[in-house]
Amino acid sequence: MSSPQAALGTLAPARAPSRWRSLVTQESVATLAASLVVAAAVLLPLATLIVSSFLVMDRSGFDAHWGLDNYRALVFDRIIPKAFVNTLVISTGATVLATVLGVSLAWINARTNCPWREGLEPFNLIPFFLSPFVGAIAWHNLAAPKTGLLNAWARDYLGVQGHLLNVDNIYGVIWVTGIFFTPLVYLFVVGSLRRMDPALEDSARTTGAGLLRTTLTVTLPLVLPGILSGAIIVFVTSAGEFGVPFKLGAPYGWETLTTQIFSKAVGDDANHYLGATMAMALGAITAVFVWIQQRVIAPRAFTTVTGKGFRPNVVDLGGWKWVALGYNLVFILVAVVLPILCLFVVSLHPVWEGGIIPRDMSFRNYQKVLFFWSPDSIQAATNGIFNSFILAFAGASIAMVLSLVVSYMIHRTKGFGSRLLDFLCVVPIGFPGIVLAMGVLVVYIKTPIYATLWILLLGYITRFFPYGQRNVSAVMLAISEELDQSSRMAGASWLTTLRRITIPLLKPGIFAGWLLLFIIFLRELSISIILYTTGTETLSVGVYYLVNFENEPLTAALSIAQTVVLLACVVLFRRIAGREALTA
Amino acid sequence: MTVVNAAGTVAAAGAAPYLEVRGLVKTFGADRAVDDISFTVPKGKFLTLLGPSGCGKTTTLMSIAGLHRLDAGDIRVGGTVFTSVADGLFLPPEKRDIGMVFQSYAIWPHMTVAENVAYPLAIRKLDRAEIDARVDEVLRLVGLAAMAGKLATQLSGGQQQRAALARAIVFRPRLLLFDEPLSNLDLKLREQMRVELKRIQREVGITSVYVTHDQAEALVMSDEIIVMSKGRIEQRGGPHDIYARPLNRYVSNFIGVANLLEGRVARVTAPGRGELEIRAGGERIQLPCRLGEGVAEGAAAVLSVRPENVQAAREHRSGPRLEGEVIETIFLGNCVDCRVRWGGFEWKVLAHPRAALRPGERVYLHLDPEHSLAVQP
Amino acid sequence: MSRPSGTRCFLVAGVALASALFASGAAGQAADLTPQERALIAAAKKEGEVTILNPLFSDETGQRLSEGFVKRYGLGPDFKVNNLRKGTGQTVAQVRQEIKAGRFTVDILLVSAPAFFDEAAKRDAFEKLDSAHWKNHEALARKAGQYFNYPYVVVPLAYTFQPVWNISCPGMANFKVDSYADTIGPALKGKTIASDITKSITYTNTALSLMEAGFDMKSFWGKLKATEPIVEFRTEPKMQMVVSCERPFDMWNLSGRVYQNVLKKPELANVLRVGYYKEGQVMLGNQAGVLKGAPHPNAGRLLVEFLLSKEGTDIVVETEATYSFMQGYTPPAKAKPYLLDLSQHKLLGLKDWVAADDRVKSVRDDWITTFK
Repeated sequence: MSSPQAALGTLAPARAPSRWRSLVTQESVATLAASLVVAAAVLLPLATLIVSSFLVMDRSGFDAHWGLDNYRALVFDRIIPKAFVNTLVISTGATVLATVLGVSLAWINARTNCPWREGLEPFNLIPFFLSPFVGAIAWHNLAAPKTGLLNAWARDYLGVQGHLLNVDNIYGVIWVTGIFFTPLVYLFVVGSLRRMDPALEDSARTTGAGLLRTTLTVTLPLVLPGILSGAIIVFVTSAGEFGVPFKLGAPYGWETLTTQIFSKAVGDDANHYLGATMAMALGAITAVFVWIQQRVIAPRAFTTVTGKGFRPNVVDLGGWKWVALGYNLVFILVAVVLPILCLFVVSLHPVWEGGIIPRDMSFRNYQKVLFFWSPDSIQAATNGIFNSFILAFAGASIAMVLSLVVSYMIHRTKGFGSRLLDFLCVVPIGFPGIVLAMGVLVVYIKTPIYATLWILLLGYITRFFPYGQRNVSAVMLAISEELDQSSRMAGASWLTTLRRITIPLLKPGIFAGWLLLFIIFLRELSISIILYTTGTETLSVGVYYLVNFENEPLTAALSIAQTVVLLACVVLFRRIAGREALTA
Repeated sequence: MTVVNAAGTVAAAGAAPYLEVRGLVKTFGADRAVDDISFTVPKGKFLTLLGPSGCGKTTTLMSIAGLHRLDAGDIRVGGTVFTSVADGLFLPPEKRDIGMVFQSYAIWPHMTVAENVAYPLAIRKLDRAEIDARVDEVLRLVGLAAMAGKLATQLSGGQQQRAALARAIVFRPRLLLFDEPLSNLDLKLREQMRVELKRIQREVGITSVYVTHDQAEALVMSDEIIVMSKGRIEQRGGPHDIYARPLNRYVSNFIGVANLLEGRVARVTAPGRGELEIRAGGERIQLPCRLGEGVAEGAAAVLSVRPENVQAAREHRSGPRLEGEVIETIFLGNCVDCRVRWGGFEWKVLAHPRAALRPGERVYLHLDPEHSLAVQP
Repeated sequence: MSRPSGTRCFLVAGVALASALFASGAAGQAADLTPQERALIAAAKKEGEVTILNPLFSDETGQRLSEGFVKRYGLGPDFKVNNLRKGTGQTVAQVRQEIKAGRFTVDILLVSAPAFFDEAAKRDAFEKLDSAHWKNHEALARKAGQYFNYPYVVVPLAYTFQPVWNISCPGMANFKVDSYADTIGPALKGKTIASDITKSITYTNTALSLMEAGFDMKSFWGKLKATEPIVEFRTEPKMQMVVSCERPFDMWNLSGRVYQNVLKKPELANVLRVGYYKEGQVMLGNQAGVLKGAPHPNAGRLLVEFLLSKEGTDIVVETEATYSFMQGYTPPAKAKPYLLDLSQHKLLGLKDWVAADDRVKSVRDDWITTFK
């Protein structure tokens, strides 16, 4: 064996560096390329919307001239201001409902001795993964005055005259929206509660504060940033929600900004300049809120996370634990079980008249919406299944690659470029899908990607890649920069380091992000509804088509199909990505 | 072997500088983190950059590694330019053949120890047999031969540290950089690893630059120490020099423990010797001492005396009468840390346990002029 | 068809028979192809597919149309007829968008929107048609006051809004409608549906036509509002409300929808009823045009011909229960019970469908004041 000194041997002379080749490194080229791509994808549609808002459509509908009439219409039109007010009311109501439910469920789950609480958690999260549009359809069939299943039972078994519940109004919209977005608040709060250092509460207890006082003066204030973040996200997401008001609000007289934007964009009173103006107005509002959440509230999420594993305090509820369990079970029943059951029952009937008629039941509707080879299949529905899977698969993959690159740029490089990218990543979150889709439509209508799956793909990725990026960032932040640096010192180029060190370590984040995006894309409606055409329908568009042109049972059948697929993905997601993988 | 010259720098006979750092400047916004740093390191020697956090030592290290870009300055290794801002030259880190050991060890958790160590060789496209041989050799050197197949997460802190070192030297780098590698280890392990690291470095003979804030570490391991503060070099010298002949108050305070009192040079009695007048809250006294560099007659200076060079006795024996009251005694096992108040100043004195000094007692402090130093303020 | 006299007739018949035999022998095509149709076949076959955008045809209609179309012209098993169905307003919006962008994903637009077709024709947005069958429709269409603009825009079919109700719902057993007066009144409180005219040009035109005929729409609406109607504009959901008794009476729906639902559940034939208005039935002709610059122009022209031919009309009427302006046309037996005998009813149109567009905003504003 040679001695260490001899082993040192002779070194190859270092290659002298070339002049300013250093500027054009692999890293800087990739950063620039990524920034340009993201900037184009995100800013171009928004810029086009702004420009469009100053174009006023002529009576013929073919020409347009510059003017401020669109903005005047925002204020003076008969319907739009009311739609605006309705949107605010719905958002506020849904936020309140979701916050109350979310915080209470989170507290029960993270901090009490409620029985079976670990098993209950996945069920609490299911509404997040399903389509709120489908939820609205289900609730319509549960609680519409004449045809609702619950009302029928109330009439038959409780002797109620007329109807007990009516979900076909603004309250119905608030109800469904609130329930479906409860998991958003839940996730924010439950994470905070679980990771809180028990010493923070213990020290309060040692000074003499009882449980209630500790909870109110220590626990809740520390969790408040999480609650506020969740609430804002729910507010913003509700404002941008299209499916629920479309089903339960607009037909019964309650228009919202999203249903009006839809009408103006591609619907029946088509005036996409006015649609752009409204989209901008909606976008401006949501963007402001999201900015507040990102820059003002999230940084204040006090560092209660120390990284050391420990068990947080658990409150003994005594006999009340059964009440807590009941509460949680009722939530799951109402939010998940009841709607799915109802949809299933309705889907088995050829025509739905409000009552269960066993002799009418069959699976024929499933045949019509799923069996694309069958002669009486409905094209819009069967197309949707294929297209949604293709879009979800391709979209999630492309979006994750983009997320990876962007996350790396943001967290591993310094300077103006990374700050710009950070900002660009928040922008799409601030704009509802319908707004972004409008922009995408107007920008790309003259290009070859119009009326193909590509334009849908573009819309999806632009809107949702920040979600993938956040998953990756969360893991990346936990990985010390030194792991990359030591690879560089060992002689690996930037690209090799990315390939052999960074990406393998990020695998959990990458996979979690991919699956989350897959699910989001499968159930996406707002973007699809603006950008689809024959042949490029998606699952949700198929449901929309059935709502418009076919009857409730067929709609229910496709809705159930979509729900089953989404649930299967959720199970897979939890199994592979683990408990803490959902980052909001 | 080494020669200590008058300036206190270490130079091997006939050794040319191997690492040359000239005029480094790095600013972050308005903050000058590295403010015109220059030094050289001969081949095979161990230099420590010592200072508190924020003094610029890590930034300097990162600049040598190529992980940070400079605003001004030159870095040359073995005659080859690595960075030259003036000429617009910059060699990317992966091309510098520099081994680096990080504070967090940065062992990749998804690879085994052997794979971690083999990584740099795989990048350099050595063949399998060669890689295996070298990995084996280096793991033996650091004492981790038995852990080759284990995943990083299965290793203790000290073992990860050794693995990091193995990885850094396996490709025979021209230079070895250490960024506070021992600060995450507990005390006993730290003391052990200091000696280990030094041994390995000496055996392999790679030129090394080590960054730390722990002065004990610096004293144990270095051939030469550079004390830094606020982006500038305060003093450079061998461990003994730095300890016995600090240049100024900052260095005195940073290295070891010292009693520091402000004063004025009353007179110079011989080259490098004189009398310093010190005062503290009403008390004043003139003490004979050695004069440090740059301390002239009449100039303001600071008296620096190590606690082990102060004797406390119940009777006055000779020399100036320095009388004080014992405030506190702290038993340290092998000696007693006594605090003696004199005027407004609290002297730190290391006394033998058998002296059995007690708080409240009046004692006389005796200083050895050979070990009392007047330094720049 | 015109009736030439004597020998000429015989000769023509002989030639027609001969050419029909020739044609059928040549490519297994239908026997009565006109020269115009034949001229388009080869090119259409090469184009391989055609897309028709319309708010009307269900999947089944589309399928049968496709089969009939392919069979009649021998276009081969690979030929595809794409039936793209969107709401009235949406079809117009999409085509307008595509005309402006110069990029077309549809070949034919079939929808009731006279003002739009006129404007589009002015902008030279349609292919010139050389139709053999159109002349069979022209006279009746003109008589019914419909808008058309040959050779660019024709009217292959029409529908009209009729009252529809469900006698099995509570209080509806003896319900009957033959006048607008029957649609309002305290007995109908909570039972009605008001069609949102702001969302559909066909409702608006129906209202305008009635107003032109002297009907006081505004006060009618006031009375309708008093019955607390549900406001909706999509025909199928309104039909669903009638079927489920959520709202047992819809004053403006299509007999075609009733027909489709009966096909789904035959028992409904016993409970669903369709009426008429003696004040007048507003015939809403659906205009059709082939877009200039469309990807499959020849197939498009051929499909329009098909829709105008007896065979095509039969298919559509049988599946959708629509009306045709074809001279001497008798609808197939299956659909007949759902169709009015137009000769027995007062038919309304508009003097100038295009100019009526100016009045759209004011009538919609009136409606909004009442209902929103």
